[in-house]
Amino acid sequence: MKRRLSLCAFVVAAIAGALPARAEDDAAIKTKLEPCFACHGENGISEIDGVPSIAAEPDIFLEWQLVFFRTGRVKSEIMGPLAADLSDDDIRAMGAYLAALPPINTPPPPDDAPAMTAVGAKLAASRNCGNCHGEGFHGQQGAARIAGQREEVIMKALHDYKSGARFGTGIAAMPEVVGQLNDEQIEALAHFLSRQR
Amino acid sequence: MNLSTGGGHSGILLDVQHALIASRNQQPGKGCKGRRGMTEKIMLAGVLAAAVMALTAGTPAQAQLKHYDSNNESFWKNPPPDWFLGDETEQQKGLAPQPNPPTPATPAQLEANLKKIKLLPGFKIGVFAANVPEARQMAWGDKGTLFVGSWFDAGNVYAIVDEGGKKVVKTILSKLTVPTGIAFYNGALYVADVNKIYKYDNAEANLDKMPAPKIVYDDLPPYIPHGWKYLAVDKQGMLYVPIGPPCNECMAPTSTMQIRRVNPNNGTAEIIALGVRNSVGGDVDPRSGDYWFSENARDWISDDLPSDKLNHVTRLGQHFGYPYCHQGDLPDPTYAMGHKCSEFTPPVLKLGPHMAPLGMKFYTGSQFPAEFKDAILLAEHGSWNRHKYNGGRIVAISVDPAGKHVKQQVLATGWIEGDRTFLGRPNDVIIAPDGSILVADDWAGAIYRISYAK
Ligand code: HEC
Ligand code: HEC
Repeated sequence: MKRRLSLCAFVVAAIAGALPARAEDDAAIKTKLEPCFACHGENGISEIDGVPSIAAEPDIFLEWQLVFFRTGRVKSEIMGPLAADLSDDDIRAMGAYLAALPPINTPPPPDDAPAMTAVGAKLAASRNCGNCHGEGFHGQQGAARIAGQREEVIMKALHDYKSGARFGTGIAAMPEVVGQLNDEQIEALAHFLSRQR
Repeated sequence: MNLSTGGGHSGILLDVQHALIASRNQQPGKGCKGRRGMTEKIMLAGVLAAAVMALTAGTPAQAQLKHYDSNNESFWKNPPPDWFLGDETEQQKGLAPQPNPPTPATPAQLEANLKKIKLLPGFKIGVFAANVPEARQMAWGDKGTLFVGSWFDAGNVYAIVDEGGKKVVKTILSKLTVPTGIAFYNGALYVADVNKIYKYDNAEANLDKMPAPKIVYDDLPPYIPHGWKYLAVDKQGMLYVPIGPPCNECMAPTSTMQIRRVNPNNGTAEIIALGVRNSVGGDVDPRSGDYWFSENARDWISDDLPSDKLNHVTRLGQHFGYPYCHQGDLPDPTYAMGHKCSEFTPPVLKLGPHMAPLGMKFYTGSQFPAEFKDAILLAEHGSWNRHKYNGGRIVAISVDPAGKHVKQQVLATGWIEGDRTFLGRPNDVIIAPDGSILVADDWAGAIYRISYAK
């Protein structure tokens, strides 16, 4: 565990260090992000069905998603047009800003299906979700923060990887992961993960 | 009939459950020595190899094998995610492939990075083209266009053209899956995208609107892990196509772990080499017409084992050892299954552990010093499954046509900083008409030029 954490911190620091000094200051990027927060929630914690929370996601994950929307690699009728005109600099600045926002800290709603939560917890452990998604599923490198993400967003994401609508970064880790999951397991994982903090 | 993709397979894929080798077999200090010297021959202590064997001898190998049913379509689409997860050892735990940076390096970053690259005396490096997201294999068109494939996240093929002394990067194909392997022959651009090889006729005249492709070959499996390709083309226009197993170490279906020579004119193919793991580089020897290829060895044994390989095919259908034997002399702890390494064709050269040797070309130019004539120039992509990364270099390997008198020099190095930081990841080399060479970097999203002047 110790090694993984330090490796992760090292890599993130190295990549951040390799980026050029950002011309945009926080204020300028905040203005650019204002329309985004209209959907993604104040400070990036979404309260709208189907819209993901984007606060405290790993920088690299966020930037890749915006690049995928921009190139059409991931099709989204909503995000496609919004990302179409973003420059590389915009994407780098937005990623860095959103990654630095605090994660969701409100307690999860009362659990209406604790048995399902238990199944999800078991699956998350046995399928090594944490190997890539990090300690507490808080995300690292290209892998999203999935703890506290909206339940229906997690479900949709997993189905999208399964159907091929989304591939994900690098070496298609997620399509390989979900290739082995059935609908019930996906539901249980989403239920469990959305209740993590 | 497509032999590789359908449900027609009766093969059962065996694989290893977690933790192949007990962690006490590892040698923690070994991987973290300083950078290697500029000239090197084969390294890798046979002692280490022997140590691993001694410690694992007598393991009831068969008991550790796990069965997978490859007899259904879903296996071929999404093989079990074992190829970098299932074989983890305690010692190597936490090591994982790093995602590429989402945006290509800026020209200013590239200039700063290249200042850190060390070259042999007389050689210089500069940026040929920036803003080529995830640039992979390169191929020259007849009229001077540089075609460039790309990695998974980008999924593009680019054409780089000279417009009044300025290099312009055009995205000519997009939304492909992993279009890493490309070739150009007789006016046509070939793109190998996992399980399809496409042909775009008269490509150079149609860069702004590529014609609809012909599929010239599709008898290939559809999975992505080790499904990425590299294409070498010989004088007759035949394509050499590697087909890797969908795992780190396993007894994969028999239609994988091999290299085929494909005739794109009629879709026939012959098997050139067997027992090949993940090969993403190869070239036809201009002296003999023989095929030589680089090969990435398995992961999760240790930082220092096994070595990646440079291989030479001298006979049709030679077996290069995978999954039974690695680096020519290291029986797999689980998958040797009674085989001896002497049954297989050994490498011409051990390239070192976790170097990730990818694209390679025989040097046929005339700009470099005489000692580089017909030398193999090879791009090392760099490690992921090692605590202190190896590679991130361009090496030059002189070797006679029979595979003897091997000498390796490091032509350019410095793309790995500290233990695990990439400034770039060289993955392919091509000879330019003026005798300089170009290097593709999918991490920084750039093409470099290395030239020589006395
Ligand atoms: C009109 C509502 C809306 C606006 C405005 C909006 N988004 Fe989104 N965003 C979505 C939805 C919905 C998704 C989920 C993808 C989908 O379903 O198409 C999404 C997905 C994303 C994701 C991927 C998150 C994940 O976890 O997968 C990121 C990152 C993102 N948006 C960033 C932004 C940024 C930056 C802006 C401002 C430039 C923005 N969004 C503006 C609705 C919106
Ligand atoms: C081998 C590494 C790896 C493993 C194991 C893994 N993931 Fe992922 N996951 C990723 C990466 C990388 C991404 C980002 C992919 C992308 O860019 O779309 C991701 C994305 C996701 C997303 C989308 C999040 C969002 O906001 O869009 C979800 C949900 C997810 N993973 C759930 C899981 C679950 C549940 C498991 C275990 C069953 C798991 N993952 C195991 C690497 C992994």
